[in-house]
Order: sequence, then C-alpha cells, then structure tokens
Amino acid sequence: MTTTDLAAEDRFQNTDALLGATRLAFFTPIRNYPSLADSKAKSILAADGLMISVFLIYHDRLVMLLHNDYLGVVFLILTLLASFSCLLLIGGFCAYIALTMPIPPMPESLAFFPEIARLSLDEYRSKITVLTHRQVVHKILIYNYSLATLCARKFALLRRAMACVRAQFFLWLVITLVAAFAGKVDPKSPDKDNSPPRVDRKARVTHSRLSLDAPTVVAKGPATDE
Amino acid sequence: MKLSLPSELSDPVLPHLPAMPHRLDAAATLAFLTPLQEHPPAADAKAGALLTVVGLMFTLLTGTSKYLIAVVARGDFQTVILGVALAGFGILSLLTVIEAFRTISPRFPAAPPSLAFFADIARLQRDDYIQKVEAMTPDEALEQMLRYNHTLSGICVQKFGRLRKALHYCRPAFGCWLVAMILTSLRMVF
Repeated sequence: MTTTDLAAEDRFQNTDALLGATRLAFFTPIRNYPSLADSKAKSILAADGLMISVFLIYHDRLVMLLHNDYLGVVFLILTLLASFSCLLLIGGFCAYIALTMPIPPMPESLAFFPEIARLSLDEYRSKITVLTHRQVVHKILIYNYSLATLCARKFALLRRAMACVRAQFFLWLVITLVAAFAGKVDPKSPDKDNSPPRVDRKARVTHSRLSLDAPTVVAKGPATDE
Repeated sequence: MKLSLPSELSDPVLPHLPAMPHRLDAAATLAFLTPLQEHPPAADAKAGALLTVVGLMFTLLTGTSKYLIAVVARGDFQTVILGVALAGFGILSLLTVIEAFRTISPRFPAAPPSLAFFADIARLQRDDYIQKVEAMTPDEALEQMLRYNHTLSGICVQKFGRLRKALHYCRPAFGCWLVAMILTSLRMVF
C-alpha cells in the first residue's frame, strides 16, 4: 500500500462516520417551513382584513342595530362584536408575531448569512477553507437547530391564531347574517329609505318619449285607436 | 469496474456532488450548500405583507370617514387625540411603506463579479461563459461561490435591516390606527 493510499484510507475512515450525518444535516427538509408558516400567517391576516371589510359594508346596519330599542338585541350585538374584536386582536397579533419572528440567536456558524456578511471576503475565504468535515457538519447543524426552533415557535403561534380565526369566522357569520337580515326587516333601513321609488314601466316609457322635464301621468286602461 | 480518481481528488462526502480536491472538499460542501437562497424571498414576502396591512388600515379608515369627520367636528379632547393619532398614523405608515419598498428593492452593494450570479453570467457571451467555467481550477470555482455567498449575505443583511426598520415604524402606526378606529367606533355606537 502506497502513502497516498494510506492517506486516502485514513481520510475515508474519518469521513465514513460522518457520511450519514452530513447527508442528513445538509438535506434535512426544514428550509421550506418558515416560508410555509409565513404564508399561513399572511393568509390569516388577509382573512381578518376581509372580514373587517365586509363589516364595513354593513356598518350602517350594525349601527342601526346598536341603536335599537330592544336592549337584548343591543346587548347581543355588542357581545358578538366585542368577542369578535378580541379574537381578531389576539389572532392577528399571534399571526403578526409569527410572521415577523426572527431566527433565534445561534452560536457562530458560517451557514448563517449575518455571520458571513459580518466578515470581509478574505476573512470568509480564510475561515471556510480551513474547516474540516466535522466542523462543516457542526456548523450546518447549528443552523438547522435554530431554524427548527424558529419553525416550532412560528407554528405554535399559528395554531393559536388559527383557533382564533375559526371562532372569529363563526361570529362573523352570525353578525353578518343578522346585519343582512336586519336591513330587510326594519322599515327604517337606510337601504329602504334610499331606494328609488317604483315607477310604472308604461309610465316611464311614455315619460321618456314625451318630455324629460314634465312627467306625464298615463291613465291605465285599454288602448284606443285615434 | 471501479473508476479511480486522481489521488488529489476527494471521494465526495455527498455522493451526488462532484468531487473536489481533498483540501477543498469540506469548504466546498459548505460553500455550495450554504442555505442562503430562501432568505431574500422571505424578506420580500414579509415586506409585501406589511404593505398589505398598511393598505388595509388605510381602507378601513377611509370606510369610516364620515364618523371620523364627526369626531373632528366635535372640537373637544377627542378631536385632539384623533388628530394626533391620524397624524402619527400618516407619518409612520408612510415611513413603513418607504422601508418596505426599500426591503423589496434595496440598493445593491458593489460586489466583485462572480460566475455563480446570473447577471454576471448573462453579461458574457455563451461561448465565453462556457470557456471560462471549463477552464476554471477547483480553487477558482470555490472562489466564485464564496464571492456569491458573501454578496448575497450582504444583500440579506441589508434587506432584513430595512425590514426591521419597517416593522419598527409599523407597530406604532398600528397603535395610532387603533386609537383612531376606537374613537370612530365609539362615535358609531354612541
């Protein structure tokens, strides 16, 4: 056996024990999860925004309900709205924190971008080229661990946010339905007040044909030939 | 039949990766697999979310404008609080939007060219690019990757710095918006 073969054998024995670890360290399927959590958080915030926007459409009717003479209805609507607002704030806050949560601090690792950016290109080069396989695996494992911790924290918050959104959606549905039906039932509804008066189709046609300024009353009855 | 590699070449630690000289193998493994690609899109997505949140807050304020005007017309302490909240919200949300846009499109730092970066590749003719890469020694190839990693890390730091500023402005902007919305809602209810 030559010296080169011995060296190769020695190197093989050193890295052989690390083969599985290296593969697992570099290919741990972990890097898509923070962005997945971010997407979920954004969806929750978007859902919150949409629910509030729908309330905005119905806000006249909600105000009308709150000025109702029946105290029971006022109390019910206020309770529903207050519960919805609390859930919205808690869920939204959890989603926001999950979205903006930074990666937890980690020991020095050349796998993490602030660490690389902190060095000059020459320092980075000189540091990375003297690393052994074991050190490389160690550095990537440090990064993986921090990322895993980040994912766990993000998803824990998202679970809470999701629970809030579920309950919130139920309340939103009830409030929206009540507001929608209240507008139809109440005779003082702004929709009914503002709705245009019904015009007889025949009368409208005649009006447009004759004059735009002077509406004419058309007598209903059988048409006669002149 | 087993193919023998030249003695200075390493058997790659990760078998699907091309072999590198033994002295560079560990560095090359880390350099070529440094997890950097996912960070710029993450920063952009967060900045986009902030822009959406600010947009929603403005929409909601606009939607309740008639009650806002009613509170302003009162001329009492509520008007003062609302004025401060609205001014704060306007300024802080503007700063948030500016920082969010600067997160999405930062001013890129001057960086040495690297054949791992698409713009530097596209600057060359196809034949020049192929010729350059094919003529590269392992050390030069690693150097190109290190330059790319270093530049991208700098960009990531810049992006996340801007994003941190945007968040820094967004939080008090949300507070101001909440105050304005609470005053408006009170006006709506009572």
